[in-house]
Amino acid sequence: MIALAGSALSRETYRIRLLFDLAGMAYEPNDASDLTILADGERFEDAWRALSRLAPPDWQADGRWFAMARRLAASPAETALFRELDQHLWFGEREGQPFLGSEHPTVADIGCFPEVSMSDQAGVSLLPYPALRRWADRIRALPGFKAFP
Amino acid sequence: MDRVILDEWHVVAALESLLPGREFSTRLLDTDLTLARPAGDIVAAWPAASGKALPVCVRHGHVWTTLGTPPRPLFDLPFPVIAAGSVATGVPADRVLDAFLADGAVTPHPYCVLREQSAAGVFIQPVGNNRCIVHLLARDKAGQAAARLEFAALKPILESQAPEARPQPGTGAWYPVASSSDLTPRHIFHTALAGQELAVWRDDAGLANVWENRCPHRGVRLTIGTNLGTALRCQYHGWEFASGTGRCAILPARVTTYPCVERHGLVWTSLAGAPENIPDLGTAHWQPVRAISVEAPLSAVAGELPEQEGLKLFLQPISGSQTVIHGLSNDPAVSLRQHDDMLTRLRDRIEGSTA
Repeated sequence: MIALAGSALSRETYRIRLLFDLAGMAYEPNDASDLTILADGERFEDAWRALSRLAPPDWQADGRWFAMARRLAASPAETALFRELDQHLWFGEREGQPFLGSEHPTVADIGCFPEVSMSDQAGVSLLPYPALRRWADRIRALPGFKAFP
Repeated sequence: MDRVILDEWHVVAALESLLPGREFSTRLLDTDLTLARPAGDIVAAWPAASGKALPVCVRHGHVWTTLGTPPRPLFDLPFPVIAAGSVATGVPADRVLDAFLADGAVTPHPYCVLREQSAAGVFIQPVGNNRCIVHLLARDKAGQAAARLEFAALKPILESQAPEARPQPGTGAWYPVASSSDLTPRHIFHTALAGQELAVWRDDAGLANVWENRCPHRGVRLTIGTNLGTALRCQYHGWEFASGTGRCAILPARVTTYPCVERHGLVWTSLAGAPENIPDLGTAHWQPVRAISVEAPLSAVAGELPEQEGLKLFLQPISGSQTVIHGLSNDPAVSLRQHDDMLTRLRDRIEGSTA
């Protein structure tokens, strides 16, 4: 079993744990006070590297989504990013891709989920982004989902 | 500014939220601040405008600073606390303080409430302009979760009671507030009409409901609740309100409901209960295009709408500064993507000219 260290209150730790929870991979959580991500002793500089390194093949996503998730983490109140995601998901719903660029959930969704689900902390209401709210509902309904602690 | 408040130490961050080597922006009493944590417990703070270092004190798991001259060192606590998360809140610090004051609570500081529970209270950061950041406290791990759960329920109540002017409902006209396809199974669609927030949802039998987005019990938003298929359940105390009537099954309470008609693929309502006057578009098959939200008042959008064969546009005033454009197309030669390109360009143009 993989031991995952990281602060339980950090979004970066949450992203990694969410991948393990949703992909049904067992892990041993180890709450550390610092924000370094450690998986079985391997140290990751950021959550994105850890996600792409640890995700099983069917959870991998196109690099454009990591770019989007990074931008969102850096600017969690930027209207243009929420608009881009909402537009993408609205057309995705009509084209058999209810998740970001995919018919099934991937690390693209996990990468963006914390900033979307906690957008009120950045002062962003999801009211103008209906497709994004439906997508967040779909993520929450996935087996194994756990909310940010 | 009250001199006593200015001269206080104020909380500005939980220590663990400061990443070594990265600057952190926050706000205190209408002043933008930058914080940096070069190492360990060493933290620097300065106003973003002047760059002149402020006094800083790192205690009780949090970072404290002042814009004045504190008459005494930071207070001591009767027991140690740990940080349990920080939440930006659209209400003044005093109101959050009131909500946490209860029998047995102590206030070692004008913006700090402590109590003998594992969810141990709050440090409140007065941001200014009727906003504050609430730093939740706990005595142990279990208390962290309890504190977050408690405040997640409390925050919407405080915000729904915020002393903002309640907007006037519309003139009685019928407006589209969603497209029929927005109301997916077990979803609760969140929108607003003329400043009135709405929870719009479809029951399992297919009936659409347009309700005020407010539980009659404590004013909690229904859009954070659950669509049970026959009723909505409020997140806060679990009260359930039946589809159609909005009545609570067990108690004499009821949600404010509005009339709801689905036509041409859109969901229409009127806040004033006026006779139904939805435009009659005949029997042609109309397909809703993606609704576009514009940060501009209805009056600024209305004058910019294009006349286009095979496309009908309708406006939903969300508030005095936000408008949604709903569109219906019956021209099979123009794709939904093409309509979307046209409407997003229109949005950018309107926002560019009203900004």
